[in-house]
Amino acid sequence: MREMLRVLNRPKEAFKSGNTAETTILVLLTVLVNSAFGPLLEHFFGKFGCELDVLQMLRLTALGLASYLAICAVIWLVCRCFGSRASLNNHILAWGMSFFPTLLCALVVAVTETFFYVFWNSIAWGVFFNVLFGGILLWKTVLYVIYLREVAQLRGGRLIGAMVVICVFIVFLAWTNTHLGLKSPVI
Amino acid sequence: MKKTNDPFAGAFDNFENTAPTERQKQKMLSFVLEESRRQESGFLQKLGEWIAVKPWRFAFCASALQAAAFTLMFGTRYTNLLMSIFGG
Repeated sequence: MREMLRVLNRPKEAFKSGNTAETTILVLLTVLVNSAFGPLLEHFFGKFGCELDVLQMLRLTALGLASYLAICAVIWLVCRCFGSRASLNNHILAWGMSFFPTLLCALVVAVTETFFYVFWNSIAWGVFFNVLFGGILLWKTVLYVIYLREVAQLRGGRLIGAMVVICVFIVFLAWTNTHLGLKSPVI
Repeated sequence: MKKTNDPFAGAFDNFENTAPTERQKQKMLSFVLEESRRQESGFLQKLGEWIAVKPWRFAFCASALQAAAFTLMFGTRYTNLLMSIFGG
């Protein structure tokens, strides 16, 4: 629990430690919210009550894990081109610690998808989710910058260059994720 | 020559013998300058440090400000737009 709080409140130190347990928990939860929680919520509370497809759930779980490995490989490759010495293993162990906002995003997307008719046109709910989505996006961006500084050890122009190049891949991976059925990208 | 047994005199003699070399002086100076530069860090650096500790605090504060400002300007058109982009 203390380690989780450190990931939440002191990401700089957490990234340096590269703890496996936190990364595994955060990534698995994010994938499971996407592949199982979302469809279950839709099945039991959705307006259209769609059927549960276990095979699709398993496929989405595998896709989510593959997406995590893909983003780690992209970060490793780009950072290496910009002079970082961190290994692929370092990235796989550390990037998952930036998954608090991703997990929160997956949860919020699952809820807003299912109860869309409640939140649409409501100014109070609209502002609430606006704050949540904007906050999640900013939070992830800040973690992304801290990560590149602390784990990849990039500074100045190299940091900005790597950020821009990885961003292009992030947009591509996010599009691929949503196209393949993951409502919230696992990146 | 008369040898003194005064311990203070001995200590000062030692001081003179172990005075820092030019290289050590240079090292100390650069350390002091580095420290003072760090302590005189500007507003931007302090803001950066504040953001790096508990980044969610900064993120949700900034997001609340933009949400309040743009919702006041555009109303549900803005909230619905964001819901349609991020909320499914």
